[in-house]
Amino acid sequence: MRKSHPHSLADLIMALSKLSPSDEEATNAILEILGIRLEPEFTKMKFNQCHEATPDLSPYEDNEDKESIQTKPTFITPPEESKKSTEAAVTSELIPLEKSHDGLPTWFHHPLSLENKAGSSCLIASYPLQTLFVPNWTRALLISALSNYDSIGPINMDEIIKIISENKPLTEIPRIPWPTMVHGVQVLIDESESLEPFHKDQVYLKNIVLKVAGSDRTEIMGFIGCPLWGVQHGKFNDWSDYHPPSSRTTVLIMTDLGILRNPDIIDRAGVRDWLHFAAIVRDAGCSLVAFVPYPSERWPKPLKDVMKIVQWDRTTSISTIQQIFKKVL
Amino acid sequence: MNYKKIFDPGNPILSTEIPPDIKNLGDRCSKSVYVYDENIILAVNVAIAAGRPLLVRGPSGWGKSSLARNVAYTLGWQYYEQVISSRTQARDLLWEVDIIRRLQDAQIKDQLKDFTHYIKPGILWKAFDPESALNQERKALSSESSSQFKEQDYDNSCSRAVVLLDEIDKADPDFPNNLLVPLGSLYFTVEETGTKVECDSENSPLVFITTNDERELPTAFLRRCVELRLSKPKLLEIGKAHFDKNMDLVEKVASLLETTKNEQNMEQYSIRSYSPSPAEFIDTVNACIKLDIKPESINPESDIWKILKKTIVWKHGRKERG
Repeated sequence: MRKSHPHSLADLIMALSKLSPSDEEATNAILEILGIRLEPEFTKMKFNQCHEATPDLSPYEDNEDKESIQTKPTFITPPEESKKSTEAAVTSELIPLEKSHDGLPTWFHHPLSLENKAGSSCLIASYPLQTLFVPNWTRALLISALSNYDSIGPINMDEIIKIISENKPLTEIPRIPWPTMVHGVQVLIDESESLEPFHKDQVYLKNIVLKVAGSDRTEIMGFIGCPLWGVQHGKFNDWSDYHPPSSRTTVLIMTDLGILRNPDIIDRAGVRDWLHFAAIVRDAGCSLVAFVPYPSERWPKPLKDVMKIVQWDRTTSISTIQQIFKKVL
Repeated sequence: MNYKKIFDPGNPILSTEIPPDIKNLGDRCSKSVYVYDENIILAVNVAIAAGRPLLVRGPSGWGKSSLARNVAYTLGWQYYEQVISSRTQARDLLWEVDIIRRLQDAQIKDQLKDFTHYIKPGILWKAFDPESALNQERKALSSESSSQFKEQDYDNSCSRAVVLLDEIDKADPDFPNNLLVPLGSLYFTVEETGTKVECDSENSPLVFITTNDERELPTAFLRRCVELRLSKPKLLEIGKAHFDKNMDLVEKVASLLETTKNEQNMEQYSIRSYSPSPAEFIDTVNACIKLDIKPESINPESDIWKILKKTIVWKHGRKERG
């Protein structure tokens, strides 16, 4: 069952005072609904003391966003030998390691078995994913980058005044363009070999797009080199020709635009390929956004004018995206 | 589980409002039939006690929207609902400005009125302060004889209100954030006129927000909601509550639907995971009653059951294709 988001102490006090739970089960159920976890000492207290005592409350430490990208912290207990060696290392004299007959250290021939030394409490270290975008900004960055502008905002009074002052009939009410994701997103993930170091980021970002834009309005496909060479649907190697989505949809590509590829390798897409692709997307009435994990100096210059390229790293903020988009618009 | 129940479906204060032409069936505006479990009752009580919106999660057809209607009916509170669409803005729930009529009036000499005449209260305004909403509605309509407001929206006998914001995940991602202040602090200010609409915590509305989990909601918004995830409904109990006189039929349909979800030939519809929803179950039983299909005439091999299954149940699978 999904964990509730933690509430404030005030919510708990109000709920307890108004509902007056008279057994421990009811108290715990209320706490659970409010997502509040008590310290063990408090849970041992009688439920009827709840109103008198000030509970030592600790809300859940992690929110879901953190949980989705971080694994639980793992602890590795150093073996006794390594503890001793660490202590012994702080000496005033350096003692050369004992060597075997072939000149290699003796430990080389008799390495410690990890399996034997690792007890049940010792886990293999799994480091949390250091995402390319700042985690707390990711949602806002995606909304900013993937939204289209529709005339659904407040009334555009300047435009109305302009039309009336020109003595023209007002045939429709002009409205200020407003960002919306109602048209959906097509996500194209570059699965080329050179993008392998960023694979986890691609998967992470894809999942966030699904959550932000909604699974019903998101289409996910893979490609190698350039989408024009074919796109993959689902997990079953179902390849087909690329077709742009319906008008006004945002097309997001997670790629390196062929920047880091050896010219000899087969999946290297050139600037021409990308220009052709951008033209197809533009002709379909869609906007094209590229997340590229390299700095702007390395982006092919001709592509800067035909697609909204966003530097996929921690230097990117909402304002940088807005500046890029203003230039391309 | 013992506590003082503010909301107690076992001891209802029935609404004085008698809804016209109610079909007490599933999600069709049903206000009088709902099968509660302890978890639902507690969550509703906690939401009322803490003065927080109740975010109801669960698959389509599991009774999220009907819950709000039934709680309003049981508590005897006024009921307002708005289905959220991709075009809904947070401000639409607070107030709307009829800018077209104002522009129209501006073309005619001496017709243009004060701005307040063009403002219509939204459902949260009605729920926060029904009296000022009624005054505002009258003022807005004073020069507009053609349309009328719903009198039943302003029932003096109801002290508080239940508000349903249905399918919030259909809205743009920023929509929930724009409701943080009105729902959290129970006030908002009408920009055009500077009118402050507020509500004291003792009379705050109980706001139900439903989601199918198609889109993630912002953390700041979730922190301000009491969450309720509906557990898998028991079809027999629901059938008994709705069709007490036709229990033979209810049991037969429930058992057949139970076997339907395991049928191999449903794979052709690319069904990933399927379980008949209470709404589909109610539709099936209701169809049998209205079409005079007897329990003994339906079995897995009968043509009539195959047609019922295809038209009412399998549509679910087709939706999930691809």
